[in-house]
Amino acid sequence: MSETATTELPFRERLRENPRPALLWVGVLGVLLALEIGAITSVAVTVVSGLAGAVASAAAAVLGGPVVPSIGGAIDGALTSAAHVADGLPSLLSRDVIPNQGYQTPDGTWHGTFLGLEPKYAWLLRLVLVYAYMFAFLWWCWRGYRVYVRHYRFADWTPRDDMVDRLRTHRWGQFGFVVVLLFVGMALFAPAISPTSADQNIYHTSQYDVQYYDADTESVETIAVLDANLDSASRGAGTTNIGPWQYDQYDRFHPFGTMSNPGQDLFTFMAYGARISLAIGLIAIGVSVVLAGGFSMLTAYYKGLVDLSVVFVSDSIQSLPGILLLLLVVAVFQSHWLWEIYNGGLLLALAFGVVYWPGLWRAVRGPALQVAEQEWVDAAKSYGQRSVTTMRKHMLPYLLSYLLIYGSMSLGGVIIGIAGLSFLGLGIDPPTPEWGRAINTGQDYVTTPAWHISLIPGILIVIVVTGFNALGDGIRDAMDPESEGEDAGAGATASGGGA
Amino acid sequence: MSMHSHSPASVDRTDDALLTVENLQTSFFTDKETIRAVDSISFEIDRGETVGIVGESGSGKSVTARSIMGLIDAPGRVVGGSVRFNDAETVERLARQYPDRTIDVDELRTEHDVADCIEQLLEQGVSPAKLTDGEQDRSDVDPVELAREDIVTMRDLVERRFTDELGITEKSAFVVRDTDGGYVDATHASEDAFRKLRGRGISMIFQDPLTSLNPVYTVGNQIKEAIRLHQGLQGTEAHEEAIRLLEAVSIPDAHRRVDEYPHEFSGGMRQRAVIAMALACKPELLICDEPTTALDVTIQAQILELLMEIQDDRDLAIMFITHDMGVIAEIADQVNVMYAGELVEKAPVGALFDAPKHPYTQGLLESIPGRHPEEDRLRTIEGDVPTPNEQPTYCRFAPRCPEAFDACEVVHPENVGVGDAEHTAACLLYPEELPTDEALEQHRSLGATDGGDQR
Amino acid sequence: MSEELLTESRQTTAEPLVEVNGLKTYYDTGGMLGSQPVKAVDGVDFSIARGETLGLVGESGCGKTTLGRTLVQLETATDGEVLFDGRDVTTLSGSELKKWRRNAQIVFQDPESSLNSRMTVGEIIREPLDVHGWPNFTVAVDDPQDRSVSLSGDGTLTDDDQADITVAVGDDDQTVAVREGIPMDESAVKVSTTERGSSVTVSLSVGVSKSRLRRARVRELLKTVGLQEEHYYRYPHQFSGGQRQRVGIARSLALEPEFVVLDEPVSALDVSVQAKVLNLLEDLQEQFGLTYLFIAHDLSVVRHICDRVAVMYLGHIMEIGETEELFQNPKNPYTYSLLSAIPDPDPETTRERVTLRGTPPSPRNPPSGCPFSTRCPVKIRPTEYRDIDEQTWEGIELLGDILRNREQQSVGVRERAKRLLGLETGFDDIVDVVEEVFMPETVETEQSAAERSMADDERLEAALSDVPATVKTHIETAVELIEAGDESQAHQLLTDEFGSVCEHESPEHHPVSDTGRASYCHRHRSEYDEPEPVFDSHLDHD
Repeated sequence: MSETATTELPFRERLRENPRPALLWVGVLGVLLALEIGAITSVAVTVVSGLAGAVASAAAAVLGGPVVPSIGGAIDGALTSAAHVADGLPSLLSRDVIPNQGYQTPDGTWHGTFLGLEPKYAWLLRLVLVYAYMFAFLWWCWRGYRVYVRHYRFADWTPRDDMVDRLRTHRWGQFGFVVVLLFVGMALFAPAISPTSADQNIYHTSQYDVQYYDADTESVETIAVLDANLDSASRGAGTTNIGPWQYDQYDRFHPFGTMSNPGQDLFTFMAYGARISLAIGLIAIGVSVVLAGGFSMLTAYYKGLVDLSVVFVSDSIQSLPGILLLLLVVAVFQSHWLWEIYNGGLLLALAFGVVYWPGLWRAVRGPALQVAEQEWVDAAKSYGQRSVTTMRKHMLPYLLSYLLIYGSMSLGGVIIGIAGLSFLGLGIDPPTPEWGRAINTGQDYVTTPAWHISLIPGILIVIVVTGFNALGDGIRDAMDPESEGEDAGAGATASGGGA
Repeated sequence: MSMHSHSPASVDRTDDALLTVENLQTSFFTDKETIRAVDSISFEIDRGETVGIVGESGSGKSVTARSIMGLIDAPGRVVGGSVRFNDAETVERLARQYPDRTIDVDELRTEHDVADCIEQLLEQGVSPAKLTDGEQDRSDVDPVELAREDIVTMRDLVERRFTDELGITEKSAFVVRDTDGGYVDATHASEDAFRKLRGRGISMIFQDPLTSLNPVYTVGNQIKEAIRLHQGLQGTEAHEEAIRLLEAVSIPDAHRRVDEYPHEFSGGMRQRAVIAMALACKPELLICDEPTTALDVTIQAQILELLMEIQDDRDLAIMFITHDMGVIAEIADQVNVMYAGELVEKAPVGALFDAPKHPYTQGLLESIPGRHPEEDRLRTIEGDVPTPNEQPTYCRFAPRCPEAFDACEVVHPENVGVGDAEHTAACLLYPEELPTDEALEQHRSLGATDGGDQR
Repeated sequence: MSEELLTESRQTTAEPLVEVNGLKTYYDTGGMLGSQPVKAVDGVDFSIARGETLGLVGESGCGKTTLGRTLVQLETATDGEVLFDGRDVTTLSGSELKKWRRNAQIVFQDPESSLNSRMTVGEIIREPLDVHGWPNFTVAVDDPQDRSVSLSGDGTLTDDDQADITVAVGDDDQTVAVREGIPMDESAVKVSTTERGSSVTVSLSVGVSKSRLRRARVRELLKTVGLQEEHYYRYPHQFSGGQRQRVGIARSLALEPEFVVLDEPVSALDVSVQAKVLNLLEDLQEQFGLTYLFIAHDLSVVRHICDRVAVMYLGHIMEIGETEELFQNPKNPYTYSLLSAIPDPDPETTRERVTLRGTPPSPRNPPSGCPFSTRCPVKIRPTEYRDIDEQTWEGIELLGDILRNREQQSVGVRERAKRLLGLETGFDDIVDVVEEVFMPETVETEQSAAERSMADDERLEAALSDVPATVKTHIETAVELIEAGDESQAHQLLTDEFGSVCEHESPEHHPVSDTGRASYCHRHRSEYDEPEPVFDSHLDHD
């Protein structure tokens, strides 16, 4: 027996024996969290209230009766007060701390901006700080894992270590990881990184004002955002076009330019839109990946009748036009409580998932059948491994790579697809920002100076799809112990050539 | 059903071998290491002769075949040596097609003096030993004498590509015409020249017949394609030729079978069809890369019999690669044993099995079950086949060799004659008649001349 | 253990561990309605004694792998029974089956494909242990006073003498014994007893976690199969083929099985590596008293390692008996031909070789009668044709083969259209065939121009010129039938006329020696000649 007699202490015991590294780590984490406590609580409240609303309406649908509204009301009340508390909490990196909206007097000085900086630079500063904070936070989490591995993990080596090592040398995968993080950051920190807030610039434009210096009257004037937006909208023709990286006549800075009608800031629109579009896209892909992966393993493992029935179902789904199916789902569920969640986003995501899985399943069916033929699957059967565990341990790791790659490629389609639905009056209603709509509205201006309205969202979709694809690539290679450097493979070819 | 007995015929070895492989070296280049899959091997194949190449996986036997066929893919490359295909008809054909890349040795003889050439080369710093292929290693050799005594001839200079260094021939030239019979230097041939050489001249059969047959065309179509390319026959003529070939490889009901698809053939039938395709090109040399490994013994027996029949009919030279000693004993006249990219023993089949000289060959034969029925346990060779990833200054088999001694770690064994002239082994134990010191010295000096600076 | 001892122990414990009766395994290969099942295993009987190695040889597609897989319940038997220690395991299911699986394991052929390349070697070998919750800590309590015993704490009580932990209850203290297969020290087990009148309660606690025991067990197994402990954390691709096969063997031994099916365990390995693995398998058998079913197509390997051999062809066992005896003096025509086809690594032997014609028929459409009848060189001929010459007889056989093959090939649409349009008739086709089978020499050389210009019936006449009149009329009738497009009728005619008991009746297993060897051939019946003299006379003919 090679193992020493030291008994394996549970994690808590090991923690108690040597608490210093853990405490240090938790301390720094606390500081990091405190910096952004306001932003974090507000995100949390938004998510919770969304869920609670769903639960309440679901409960209402299921239970009915008068009791429910009162409960719902109570929850609502609690949430509203929580939201107020959240607003009251300070966030270091917010628009209030680093404002970027102001006006320039003829002497060239800026009023109302952070330290009198030009709005462009004030905004850039905030953007950079937000991302820096995010990466610092993630790096700290990663350090936390390292601390755990070094001080508290019992095993000195696990296969996951190899996976992490492979990912650390995978440049393409890291690129994907960073791109994905940038977009996730964009969605999470939308209020902090956009030049103006959605409430001000998109939802309630008539309730907010902007101050600007009017050269004619030689004084600082005030105008409603609604009117300012209308004046600064990019319409492609003539003088009214605010392109990327430009100021409008009210001294507002637009990193991506403005939209056509009613002239919202495109960056703000995209940042808030990322919340909806990415969430729906990822949920939809997630649903179809789970369905496709599950079905492919079931059909490959059991074959026969199971295979036949899934073929039948998927063929039926594929033979219907996708858009028709989506219309059907949306129409049927429009008054259902599912529709309430996330402005109908969840329902849309589920519908897309259902429409997309047969294609994905077709793509992974071949590999699944192949891996089911491997003798290690038989070996697992021979010592009585349960079928579900066999599929998870011996088949899924091989399919996951295909699922990740094909899934990430479908993401763009879903985002555009949602826009198509909105076009038909279904899907996400205006004015809620959503990427596909930006592309749609910009289509008429593609050949005009206002080309940016369509092009920038389009490019962003390409980048985000590429990012997820690269990340999928990285994860695939990380999971494959044989991918340790291409030279190993070439060596095998060479030495195997004599066989 | 046919019943017959086979005992290998001894073939008279002639000087003009059909295929001469000299110091062939093929490496695979990776970021981590350079794998010397084939490391300076030399052998010959005569017309009508079957040369077997045996070795375990990773010994480089398939790479040898692929190097001869010009089928090495990146990251591999033939880095040295020459493969000379000595078939008059092929030389003439290629010389017509590539006049710019043809060397005429007769012309060179009239235009240049051999002694002058030798002198120039010596001035350029080529070692006398290398120049004379080990016959003379004094530093004060006399060029005139070398030329007069025919120790170095113009043909030698061309064969070893010294004429390229002198600038009297093109580096890209690969067809050599000579009154004594020219040759095609396969290691210098271009890709499209190779395509013309492959099939007509040299054909190859692979282990898995399914990968050589395209599943979407009928077997007949594929044979007809080969016939059209190499014999220029069309239509009905090609069709009949295809049927005749299928009959020649003993496929029953060939008239019907010719229109069937590969999946309708059994494994043995497919291999027969592949052989028929190879024959459609009327090759002089057939390279068989483990053609029976995927087949059952009864089918293997059929295919071996077929190959021997075809060889008799067409005076075909066969290079037969396998790991199965039994198959080698059955089909080969001459056997080359490979280990870790090197040729460790070369012998007529009878001598090899009766009196294997190299400890590796001995071990390999010993480990076949049934050699020592009285013993309960099988004899084994310790350790694993190494990856040949560095220049050998030692014996690659030494770590596993039961007879290794100190010198094995520092002297690289060269092929030396053991007993019979046809029988060589690369082992420091030989030549047996010499005391160890002298034997070592012989290996050292052979190693120094044998393209020492190529390494 | 010496050879002598082995034989002895085998004889003393000659009770069969595995007994197979009338086992059939058919595959329905998912074809649409009415397709014939593949009869991979078509009624086999044999038994394997405890501690014995039974070899199973045959060509690919003969059903040997399917048989092996059926024995470990990886395939479902269509009919028949597999008795393991007297219990029919084909009817087991659910937890019963799972529990039984510990007893019978399989080692696969391809070391590439039998190990999951995403798992470390340690995880691979450990998986069976995890699946079965090994070690189960079965506890046997040895009480001299024979009181009723109950157990509390870790473990389950058992009467089995193979218990993991044995507790002997003494007057004031208890002694604990841990079975050898479990890498645990006695001191790790804490035992206390409480007596209450006529009953005693043993409370037991094990101080080592199961996962640690499993890791230790895996390390032990790695050493057992000749690998190193630190290989635990390596991945399969970092190993050579031979080492990978060792990992596969370690995995199959993890649950301490009694019976191991070795499905071509060395076929993918080089000869020097193969020798090492074979030695290991023999060592393990000796060490753990294993019973092997060794499936292989390499007969020299089988001859080395097996005590008895079964030769399979097309789902049937053609011959079964003691290895040496069978190899030296094969009785069945198929065994005879198979052995003669092995290339001998000794070029000096000038052995007479029997080369079989054609390939084994498809197990979907096995021939009627004897499965080997389509290729058998010593098939029994009907009395009236005993004396016709070899070439004619072979021609008849070949023609029958060709028709048989054609029957099974579906005729393509193109072919059918061609025939309808009269572009190609069955006739010129069949004349070619008749020429091919009855005059092989003429066909192989170039056909003369004169011959080509001949009319079909003249050619037919010429082809059959050497054929005796009795045969000729039947061939001509057959040709006429084929001409009329009725190939199956023509085949039927040939079978009726030239067929014999070999085509008409299934043979039986005849005992052919006093060691219990059996051979599946009609020729062992008293009214026919034994296969051997017939072979000899054929070989002399040549």
